[in-house]
Amino acid sequence: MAATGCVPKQAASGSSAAGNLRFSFWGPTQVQANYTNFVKTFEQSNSGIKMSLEPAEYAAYLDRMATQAAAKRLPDVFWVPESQIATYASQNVLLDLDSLDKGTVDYSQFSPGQVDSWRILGGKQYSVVFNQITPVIQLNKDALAAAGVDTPNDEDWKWDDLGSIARDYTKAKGGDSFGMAYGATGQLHTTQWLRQHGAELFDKDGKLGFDAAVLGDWFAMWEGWIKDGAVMPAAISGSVQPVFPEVADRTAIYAGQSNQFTDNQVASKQELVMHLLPTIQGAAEGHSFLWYNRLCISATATDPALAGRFVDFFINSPAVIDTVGVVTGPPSNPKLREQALAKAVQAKSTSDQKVLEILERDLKRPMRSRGANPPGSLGWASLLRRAGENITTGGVPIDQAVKSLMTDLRRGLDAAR
Amino acid sequence: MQPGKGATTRERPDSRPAPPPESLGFRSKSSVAAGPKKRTPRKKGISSAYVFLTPWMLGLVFITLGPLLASLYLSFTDYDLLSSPNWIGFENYRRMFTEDPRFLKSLAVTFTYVFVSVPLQLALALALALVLNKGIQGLALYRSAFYLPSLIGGSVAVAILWRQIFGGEGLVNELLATFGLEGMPGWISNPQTALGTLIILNVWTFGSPMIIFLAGLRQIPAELYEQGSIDGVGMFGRLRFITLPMLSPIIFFNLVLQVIGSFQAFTPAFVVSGGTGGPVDSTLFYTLYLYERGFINFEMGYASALGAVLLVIIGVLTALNFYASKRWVHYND
Amino acid sequence: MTSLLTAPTAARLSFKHAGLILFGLLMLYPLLWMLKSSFIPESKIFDDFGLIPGELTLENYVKGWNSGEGIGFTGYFLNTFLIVAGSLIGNLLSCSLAAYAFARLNFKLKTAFFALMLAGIMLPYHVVAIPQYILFSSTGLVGTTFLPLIIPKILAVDAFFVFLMVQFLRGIPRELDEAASIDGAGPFRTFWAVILPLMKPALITTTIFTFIWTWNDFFSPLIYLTVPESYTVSLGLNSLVDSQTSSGLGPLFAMSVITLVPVFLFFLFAQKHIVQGIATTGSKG
Repeated sequence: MAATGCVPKQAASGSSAAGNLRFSFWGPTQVQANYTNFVKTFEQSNSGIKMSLEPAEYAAYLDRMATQAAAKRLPDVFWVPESQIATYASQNVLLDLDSLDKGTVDYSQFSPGQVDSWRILGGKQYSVVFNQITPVIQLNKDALAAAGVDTPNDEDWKWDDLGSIARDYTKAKGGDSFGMAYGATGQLHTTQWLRQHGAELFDKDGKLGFDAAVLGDWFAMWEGWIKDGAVMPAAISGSVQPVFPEVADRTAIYAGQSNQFTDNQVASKQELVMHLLPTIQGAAEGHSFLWYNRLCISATATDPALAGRFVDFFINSPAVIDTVGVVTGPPSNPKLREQALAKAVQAKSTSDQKVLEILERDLKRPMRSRGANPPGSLGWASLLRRAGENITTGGVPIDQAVKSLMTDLRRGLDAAR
Repeated sequence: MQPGKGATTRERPDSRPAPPPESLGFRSKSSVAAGPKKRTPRKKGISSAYVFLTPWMLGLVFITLGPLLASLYLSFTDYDLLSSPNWIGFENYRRMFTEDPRFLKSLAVTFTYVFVSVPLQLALALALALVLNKGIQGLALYRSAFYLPSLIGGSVAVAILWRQIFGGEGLVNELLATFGLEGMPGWISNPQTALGTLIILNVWTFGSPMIIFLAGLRQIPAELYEQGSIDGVGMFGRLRFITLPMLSPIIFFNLVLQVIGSFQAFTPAFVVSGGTGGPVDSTLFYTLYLYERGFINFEMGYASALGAVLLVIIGVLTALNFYASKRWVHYND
Repeated sequence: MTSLLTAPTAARLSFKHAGLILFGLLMLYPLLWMLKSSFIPESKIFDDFGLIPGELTLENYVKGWNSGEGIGFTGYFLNTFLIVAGSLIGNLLSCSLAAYAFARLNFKLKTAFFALMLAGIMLPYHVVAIPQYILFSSTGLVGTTFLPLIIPKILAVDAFFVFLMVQFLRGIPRELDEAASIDGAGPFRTFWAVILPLMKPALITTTIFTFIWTWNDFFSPLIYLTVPESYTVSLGLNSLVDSQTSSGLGPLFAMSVITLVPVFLFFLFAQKHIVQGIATTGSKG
């Protein structure tokens, strides 16, 4: 009866019935629908397995995942953000995939180096990476052309070049338009800046891998750009980390990520292109890096072998191309990327082509290995954002803001040890 | 308020506030000035009380107190959601009070929010309830119009709207421009005024306490007003000697609960500031800071300590409220 | 002697109406703008703040309604109604019983219990959410039923309503109780036959607020309801907008308007009963 509040029984974690898997992931409704269709193909080819999906929007997903983890009630398979993977892994929440029978997950389409690059915390394989994301500089090609501003390609451009382009746009356009939105608080861009200087956000021992001067220079560069009028101040854009639609009509350049490009292109009324990040003069080798979307198996999964089959499907099945496409980023599987590109060309989907191509270009560059953010580093994104805000809105001196960021970050890392 | 006091002759003289003045020859027939009450048989009271209270008791123990005590315990640990909590004594509290400027900032922001928006909101709610209580034409329409914002005030859509309305090129600035005030800065992105926009949002949703006031006003017997007009009491006299005293338990209720609720305000600040309490922590509500510590940084032990401190603060203020209520709240039992 | 103030003049009345209408419009402006924005293409929403739409379209409504995994918004509405119904019944019964005990009966530690109950709402939700979740999780009710959302209502956990009803109860004179008890009624009869009818404004208020708060509740459904077939409207709304790219505002506005409708209609219906209320407490004589 309705009043008892029962719903059709779905598979609960811990259910002993073989063939039930709980899978949770994040995304807005369209992405949820896409992945639901993707998972349906798994059920079709594995008729004994019933998948129970638990999607949620990103921020809500993280809250729910944390709550479920505290109650040891995580789903069987689930996505983990790159920024949290080491934290979860370090507390025995995730299953070591090497413990599965050999051949459960087929890595043959990946290069060994690639699969090894997914290891964390002393070489354990706690996840598979199914998407690879690149930090990018997103340019409004039409707007820049209309303003008569030349844009170089991204083979060898420098941060100063980016600054001048932005400045030129502001001068040419006038009014309340600016060249670029504030982007100093983007984690990925900041990380790449550090790596270009030969430093690292977190070193191999899980400690801070950079000194205050390097990070200070990063903020100083952006403040200089604001002074020159190249960059839109936060007071005008509304925040230090505006989402693209908030600034789409008022700026031509945006510091973004390749997995947001599809949505941004839809929101923009003009053609957007992506550039890989500019570098400093004499940048250290291998500063490029990729950001991952990871799929994990819970340590409390009742049927790890079954979960493993799903994981294998997830990173190898071509069905992902037709159902999901590249809306959450390019697949990590090189074969699937080829197929996706072919399909994008055929469907004349320039947006998808750009997302795939920028990854291919990035992959051609040398990439120093990068450890996952260590346990205790969860506050990094908000610390960075606040430092930027304190500097650009709060008038706090740069070295003071950077110093307090590093102190707080260090405290978090120490607490986790 | 001391529930139950006034039930026996023994306790009554201490706790009951003075009944309405009789100087205008006005007597409230239902006032407790009537006479000593009969003593409710105590034995019968106890056992039936427990029957009445059984569901509530279960809820209190298992759903309220259990988690509350668990949370208090966690405040003395380094709980990080994923591993077992380890006892660390008062370390969280020590850190909070000596090394955490954001804690103090969030207290300042929250106190400002509560002490400015609650009186404004309640005053507006009371004023409109009094106006709308008169039974004018279109009453239902007005009441619904004023209540509509509270229906949706805590939602994401409204918070997004608020960002737009008070943004640099938002509605408010457009309006100001038509009045000649050009080039005003964005209110949401300015640390001086961001909190103000959230205060306005809270006041905008005055419909909730207004409905409660209306319900309370409806419970005031008409005979009192009839008696009052026979005695020649004017409009303001009616307000002062009949309406407000009779409504005082409800005013008190709204005051206590708006204070408790405003201290824990979360969603508007969360969405309007994008979860950051920005700009520069100017909208860092206490619960927002707690959420960041607990759910973003996984410092659940520290977040629990923050919660315990808030509990004490709200508890003290509520106790003060109850204590002060003896002076101005008038009960009919 | 008639009071000078008893008969409002026509001028004062129309002045009052003008003021109310103006104020009402001001109050409603953001919502009216949201309504208008829901009917224009998403990319044009932030172009202007007027209330007159340029280009009308239903695409936001279509997109929004068809979004939603599992059973879609139709199902979300049904689920939410179920949860609301359960919560209403639970709150009305259990809170009034508890309020009667606090306001009318005597028992040991009454003040202490009352204080403990209030303490429960002074602790921010986010710190008790996880211990509560662990508690419910250990009972096996999580993920398959709505019970974790309804049980707290059946157990009078909402101190707000207990306190509200206590305050209303204390406005009802005890002579009525005593009259009933002289007639031989025990506490329960007195409660059911005498007091409860007189508490109508409080009950209606409880109904309105329970409906609205349950309807808008987000975090509890998020953690207790994991399969889309059981999602509520608030979860469906949340998924409409990507927090990372802010796409989806058009459908968000459209669906927010739609989800307002039942709440608003319910309120229109319920508030009439506050109007009728009681003109007397019946204690004369």
